[in-house]
Amino acid sequence: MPDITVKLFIEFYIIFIFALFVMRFVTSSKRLIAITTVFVFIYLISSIVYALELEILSVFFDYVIYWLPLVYVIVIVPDMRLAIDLAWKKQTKKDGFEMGSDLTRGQIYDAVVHLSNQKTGALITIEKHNTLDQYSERAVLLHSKVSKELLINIFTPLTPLHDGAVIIRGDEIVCAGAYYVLSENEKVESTMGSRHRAGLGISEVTDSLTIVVSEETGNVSIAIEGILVRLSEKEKLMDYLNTFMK
Amino acid sequence: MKKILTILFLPFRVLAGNQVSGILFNVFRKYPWLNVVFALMIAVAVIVFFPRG
Repeated sequence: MPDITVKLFIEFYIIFIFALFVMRFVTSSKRLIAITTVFVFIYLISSIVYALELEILSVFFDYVIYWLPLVYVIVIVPDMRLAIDLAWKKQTKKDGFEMGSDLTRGQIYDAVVHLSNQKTGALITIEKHNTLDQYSERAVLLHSKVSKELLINIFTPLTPLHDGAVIIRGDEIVCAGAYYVLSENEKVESTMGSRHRAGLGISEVTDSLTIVVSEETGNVSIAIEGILVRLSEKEKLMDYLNTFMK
Repeated sequence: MKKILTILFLPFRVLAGNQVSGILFNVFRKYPWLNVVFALMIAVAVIVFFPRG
């Protein structure tokens, strides 16, 4: 019967695509593989229990098998979020983007050097292809020209916006007081605080460049493509800005 | 008691450990077509074994 064959083929095709999607997701990280092998092992034990008709354990595994998929999903939620963020990173790439002028670069550099000398914590993100609208929508919109004075003022301690991040698009400060999802990278030094983790977090899910100024030491770090680089000399910041913003 | 618990949980510790997941991760990274093979196997298994009304 051709109708059944076509139906079966469509079913097979959809299941195959879904299984391929799941397989690619599961094999994308060691953590996911480890979690999945443990859950598969529990399923294998349950099939042995059912095959041997072990009565008490069968009742127990009835519950386990019922709740296991839900537990699995809860355990892999952070990985799912990361996968969605990475997909979003590819999806939200704009064809055209504007980068700041030499003047803007100079203003950012001067502000960062000043903040670093004053040991004032700061988090400045410069947008590239991936839009940061989802973060700026929840922050305080400024849409003002980039200036050293304004940046210093935003990060002045005990002011309402000093704790969040500033997002710069082209020659404009889009917003201040933006909050990012913190990176879960285990390689980050324990001495680095949540500001560094936030900078690293946004660099993992977008192609932006984030400048982090440490409150404790005044050190300047750059977060880009999931890597955090501590600058030994502040002058190097200008090289990074010139390379990134050209 | 600690030793007994260690032995009891050994299979889980091995499976969730770095070695097994590391080997599998490297194998799947080296041969990405294995994903397609496993997906095909899953699809065939579902079609063959899934209970129908």
